[in-house]
Amino acid sequence: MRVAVIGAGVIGLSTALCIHDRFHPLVPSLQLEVYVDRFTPHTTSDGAAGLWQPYLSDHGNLQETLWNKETFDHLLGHLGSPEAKEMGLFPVSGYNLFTQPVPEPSWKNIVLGFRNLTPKELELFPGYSSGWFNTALVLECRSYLPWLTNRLAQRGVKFFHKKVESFQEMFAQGVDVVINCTGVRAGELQPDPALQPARGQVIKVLAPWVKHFIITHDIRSGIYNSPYVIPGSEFTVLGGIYQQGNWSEENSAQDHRAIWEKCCRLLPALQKAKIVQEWSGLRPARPSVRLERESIRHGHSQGEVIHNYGHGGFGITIHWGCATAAARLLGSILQEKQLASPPQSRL
Amino acid sequence: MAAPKVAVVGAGLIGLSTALRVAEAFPSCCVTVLSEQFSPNTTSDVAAGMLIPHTYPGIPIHVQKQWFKETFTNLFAISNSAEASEAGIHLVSGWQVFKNPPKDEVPFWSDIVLGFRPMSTAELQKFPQHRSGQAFTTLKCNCPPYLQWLEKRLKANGVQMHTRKVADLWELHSEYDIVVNCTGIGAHHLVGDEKLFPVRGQVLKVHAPWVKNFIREGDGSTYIYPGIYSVTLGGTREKESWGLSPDPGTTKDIFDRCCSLEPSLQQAQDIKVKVGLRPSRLCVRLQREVLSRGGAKLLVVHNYGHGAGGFSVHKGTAEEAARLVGECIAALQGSSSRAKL
Repeated sequence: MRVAVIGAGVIGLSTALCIHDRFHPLVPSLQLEVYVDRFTPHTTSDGAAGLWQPYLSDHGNLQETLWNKETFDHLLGHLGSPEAKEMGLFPVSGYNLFTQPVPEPSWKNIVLGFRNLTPKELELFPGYSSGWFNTALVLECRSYLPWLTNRLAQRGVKFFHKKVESFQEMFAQGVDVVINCTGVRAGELQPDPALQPARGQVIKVLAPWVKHFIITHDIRSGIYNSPYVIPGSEFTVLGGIYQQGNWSEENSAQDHRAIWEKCCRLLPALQKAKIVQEWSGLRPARPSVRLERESIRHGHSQGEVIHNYGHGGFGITIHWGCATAAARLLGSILQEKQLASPPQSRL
Repeated sequence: MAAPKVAVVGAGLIGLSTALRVAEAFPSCCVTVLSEQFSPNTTSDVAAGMLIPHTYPGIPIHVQKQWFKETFTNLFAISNSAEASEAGIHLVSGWQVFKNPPKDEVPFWSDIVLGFRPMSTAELQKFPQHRSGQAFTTLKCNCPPYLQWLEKRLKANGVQMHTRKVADLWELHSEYDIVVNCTGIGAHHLVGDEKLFPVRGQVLKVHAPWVKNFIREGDGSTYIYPGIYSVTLGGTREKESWGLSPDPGTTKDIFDRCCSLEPSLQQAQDIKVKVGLRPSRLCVRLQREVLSRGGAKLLVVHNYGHGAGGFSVHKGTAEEAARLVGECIAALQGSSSRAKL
């Protein structure tokens, strides 16, 4: 039973690990392979600051809220373990700021210590009239992806540095199930008008005195189009760009200026911070995550595809919940195949 | 009379902040800082610089609260300005956890720090050995940056600084009119204050930049304070111990206690061990004294004995010391006009 994961960002690698841990003991014939076009540190996940935080509203998508919670709880469980540093995982507290009152988010009871800001705290942020404080987690993919990769390699999972051109290509090679974790470029394997790039740009600076995340929100301009500051283990990430439909992965001088000016206004101390890196990436934006099975005709038989893409700007936040959901879908496929095909040895 | 000449003895946190306050309040004075040690070799440089007050048994709570409030407000403004990184001041959030319920439900300073509240059950799960806790946001004053920033501001105010060991305050009487004694633990020998005693503190400064929140054992015995360039792990409180050499057994003990609160510290690197002697006293000595020998006089203002709480109250005590210096100046002007008659 050959299962091929396409994509080695946070979604591909975590799904692969989840599948291996769940099924390898049960299905010894399971052969897991990962096909990678771009490895860490060149994936979309690598550029993200890695803060666990869903969007302000789940738009009634309870399934995604449950996946977010599953991810947070899974990561929280790893906090006290010796692996946490190697994973790039650590707790961080911080602020969400608004210019008008906003309903409490779906994740208020998932994070720790969620509360409204006091008037004295709001004095720190002129121009913002309300906000929240809570403790969440950062999961830095430039550590997490290598950690996942090492675990997969230790388990004998094979990696192939290759751009897959079609699902048929995989089935023709003898792959039974394809797990499609191709993120923003999923449309190249199968057109999906619902999937759009949402371009982001970030500036990484040396500002080790920043100990809190600060996410501002402007309801008019939309998610991530308002400045944010997220401290990492080494650098602090400044951002606030979300451009739907923009495929450019080049850094824009105009966006740089916008990020820099707005973040320095938010945190005057940043004016003295040294700029270390600039990066642009394409969030795989979709009205909802595509996490479903699809049977695809291949000659006289069917190949199975499990889609797991379209996680927008919350891939890290939701990744583990989606990985386990994808694993469950594989479980159904494995069950069906055992029921459907008698052992060859009877002939 | 000629501009009063003021010598501030001591260049730790108290000496520098007092000198600055005096220079700002009395621009006509000539202020000089004299000290055997300067940053990074003062007691203040060893401290984490967290604004979490120590309670002085001999000072009314409302006074301590006022001093803390002045200090917090002053530093809060700097932390929110472009100077914050140079001054080494930043906000930090975290938790104070208790194995046994604390004596006072809520400390006197809870409404001065930001967002003070009890920890939730979910937050406490991270601390399985502890039954309750408090979460809040406060300020950290990182040294050496803060002291070096104060030195820069002093220079801009025309204050001179000299390395000099003062063996006896009286030796300054011919050069200075007023001496401000900010010698910290040095006052024990310098002015023979038997009420002042060291409380030895050993700390580890480690590289663990993923630690963004502070964690503190409610009784203050164990703490993890993330700073700009290192995380301070502590500590010890050894009364009457004068030893300045790090003790390896203590180092291991501190490390183990901190790892038990925050397991990820096992991966900390680049461990440096430091020792400081907290200049402890039932109350801070903030008072005037007149030294006289023969016909000569030297006006002294004492500002020492801040123990474990120097950072938390330094602006408040600097303000009070400056006020006492003002009284000295008035006394000098009074006696000088009397002398003219």
